[in-house]
Amino acid sequence: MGNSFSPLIKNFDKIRDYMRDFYIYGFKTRNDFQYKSLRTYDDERRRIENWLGNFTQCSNSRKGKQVFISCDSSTIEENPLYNAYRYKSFTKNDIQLHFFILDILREDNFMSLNEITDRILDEFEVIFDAQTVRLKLNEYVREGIIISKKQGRSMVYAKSPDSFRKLAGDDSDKLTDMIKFFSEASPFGIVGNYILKSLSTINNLFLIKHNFLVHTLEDNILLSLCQAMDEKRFVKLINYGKSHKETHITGIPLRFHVSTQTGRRYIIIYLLNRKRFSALRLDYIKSVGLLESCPEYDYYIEKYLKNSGYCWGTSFGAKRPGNGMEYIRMTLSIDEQNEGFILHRLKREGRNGIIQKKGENIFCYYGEFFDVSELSPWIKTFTGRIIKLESNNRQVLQRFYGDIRSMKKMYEVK
Amino acid sequence: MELFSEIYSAYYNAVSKILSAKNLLKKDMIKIIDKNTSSESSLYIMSRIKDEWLLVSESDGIYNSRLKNTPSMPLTLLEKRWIKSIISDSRAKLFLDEESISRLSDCLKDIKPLFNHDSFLFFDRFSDGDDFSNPDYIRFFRIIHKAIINHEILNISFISSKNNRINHNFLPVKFEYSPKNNKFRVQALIISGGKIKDTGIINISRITNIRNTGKYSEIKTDNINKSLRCSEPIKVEVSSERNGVERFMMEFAEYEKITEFNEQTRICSASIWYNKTDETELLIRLLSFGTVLEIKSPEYFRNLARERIEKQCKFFTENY
Repeated sequence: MGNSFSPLIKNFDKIRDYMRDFYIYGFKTRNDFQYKSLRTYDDERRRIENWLGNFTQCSNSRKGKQVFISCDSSTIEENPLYNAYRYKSFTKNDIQLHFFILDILREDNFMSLNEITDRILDEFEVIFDAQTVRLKLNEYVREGIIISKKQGRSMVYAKSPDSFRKLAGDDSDKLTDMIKFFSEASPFGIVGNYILKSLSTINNLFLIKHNFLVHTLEDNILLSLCQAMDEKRFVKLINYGKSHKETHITGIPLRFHVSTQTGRRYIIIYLLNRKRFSALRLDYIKSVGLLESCPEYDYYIEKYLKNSGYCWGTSFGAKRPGNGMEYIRMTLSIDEQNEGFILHRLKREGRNGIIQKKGENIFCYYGEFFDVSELSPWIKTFTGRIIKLESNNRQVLQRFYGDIRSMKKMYEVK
Repeated sequence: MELFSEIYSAYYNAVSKILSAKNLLKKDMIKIIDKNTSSESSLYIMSRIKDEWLLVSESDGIYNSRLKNTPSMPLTLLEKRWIKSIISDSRAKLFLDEESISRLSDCLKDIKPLFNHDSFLFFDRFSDGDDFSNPDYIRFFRIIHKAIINHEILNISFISSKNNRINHNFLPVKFEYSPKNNKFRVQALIISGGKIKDTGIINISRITNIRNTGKYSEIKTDNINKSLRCSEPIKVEVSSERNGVERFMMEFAEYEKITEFNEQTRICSASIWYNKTDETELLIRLLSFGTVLEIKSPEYFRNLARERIEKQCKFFTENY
């Protein structure tokens, strides 16, 4: 290994696509990575292997060597993809000022820029120009680890008094364990992971099933969208859809729709120019630009809430509530005595649908939605007990019956 | 306020640990770096920490921090905002009493939450999730929590999914949470006569009583899921029609698997390893892909799919 290699990276976006492709598409080989040069691929692959250790594996396929990230997410205590966040590059000045400034500053003693710069020289025999120190101080004020105030005509600085121990008080252990859980199960879990690392501890209590580890790679996008929603602003998104074609979309971000089953996450955005809601996958969004505030934001939230009850997942269709919604009626054979769990499944998974008993061991599920094609995968989970499927969306019916016929052939059913 | 910042980096963390220790040998420093960072990092840090960063001094092969104090970093704004968000989650009450949550909220009263729970709609989450505000549920959760930490054997009574009353001595090992089910379960070892009799997974919402046994176990416990791993993977083929490969790869990203894509046929072959207790769930998830996915092996698993399709075809013959 040459000395020039560094596991550190400057730009998170650069690694995001590689991490995603290694994790989601384990079958890609070196030649499939054409976003940049193959040399770049080699560097990024080496970095990812370096960060993730045993989580990266390789196998040989007909196409060549495949490098992939493989793990059963329900058996691991810490999301291995968090490692990508822990290798940001820094300069000599960055690391020196970090430790020198935090060593010099006290919580109860405000110091001026010149005092800090002089103390660094006195105590560590390192000369920094005041402007460099000022920039670092201001950066740390923004990060919240230093506080500042005006004293006379100049700014003075002190260390923030908000330590974890002080915040947690007598609940330190309980709060730590709570962070262990949320660091793996909450949006922006990486932040909890940062806290755990600073406390020199790890999650040793919780395993998360049905966990989509890859979501963490979209956290920067999520953060900008959360800020836009909090500040009720328009956003301009650079989006790469399925076709990988770059599009620029301006709209009002309203809610995140998250699938706990397919792993897809969407931002529901209102497009003023098209006067409709649209769902954009977070993993297809390349960047988020915050625009001006939207004075009618609450109106659009109301509008969303009125409509969202007719969403099965993310499609808002083209119709209006009560005006030609699509319906689905699924008649099922369920042995009430011995298959109560199927009835239970219908209730817990059927969202806004109605379940009625139609006869002995015959039940009917009925629901109205903007777009019933979204129900197709769910309907197929009842394969083997669907007596009849009805809908005013003929395409959905044709596809369902066609699929069963094809599966009959596929599985050699006589 | 940056999410991706060097102040949270593994390198700063490792250096902070070196600067917190006293009288270190070179090998001690390397050990700290190796423990806290990735491989190939010790060379990078060791070549800089003394002569370039001037953070340590060396005398007769002994290294010491040049700082006057043990390094410490206050909570960042990002961390405070995140804590503010999680304490308003309904599951926070499993860990903290109302008074503690109020005290924390008060301490963070000038801090904006990083995210609002209302901003997220988990649209396909099962509607029969656990009631995290139920006092019995909270009590059972906390007893188990304590037992996991202290390796205490508990006598647990619960109602099984088949409605049987079960009572055993269990050694709780880990909590398991599913965002899809919105449920906590506890992975446990069934203990009898001081020995492991079996493994078990108990839904906390199904527990009716817990009794402390006052007995503690020295049994080395590991992740029970590993012992439930299937012996043979399920092999499937996914076609590129209807965006099948992309949908499959995303939905099954959580599984341990090996995949291969054939450019000519545009078919992805995958071997999936799974937890044996989730076999039925896996079967219906695979069936939900319809014709874009075919279960190839093992034969018994393919037959499970075939049986369901056969039953389905019979309904159609009867009704059409």
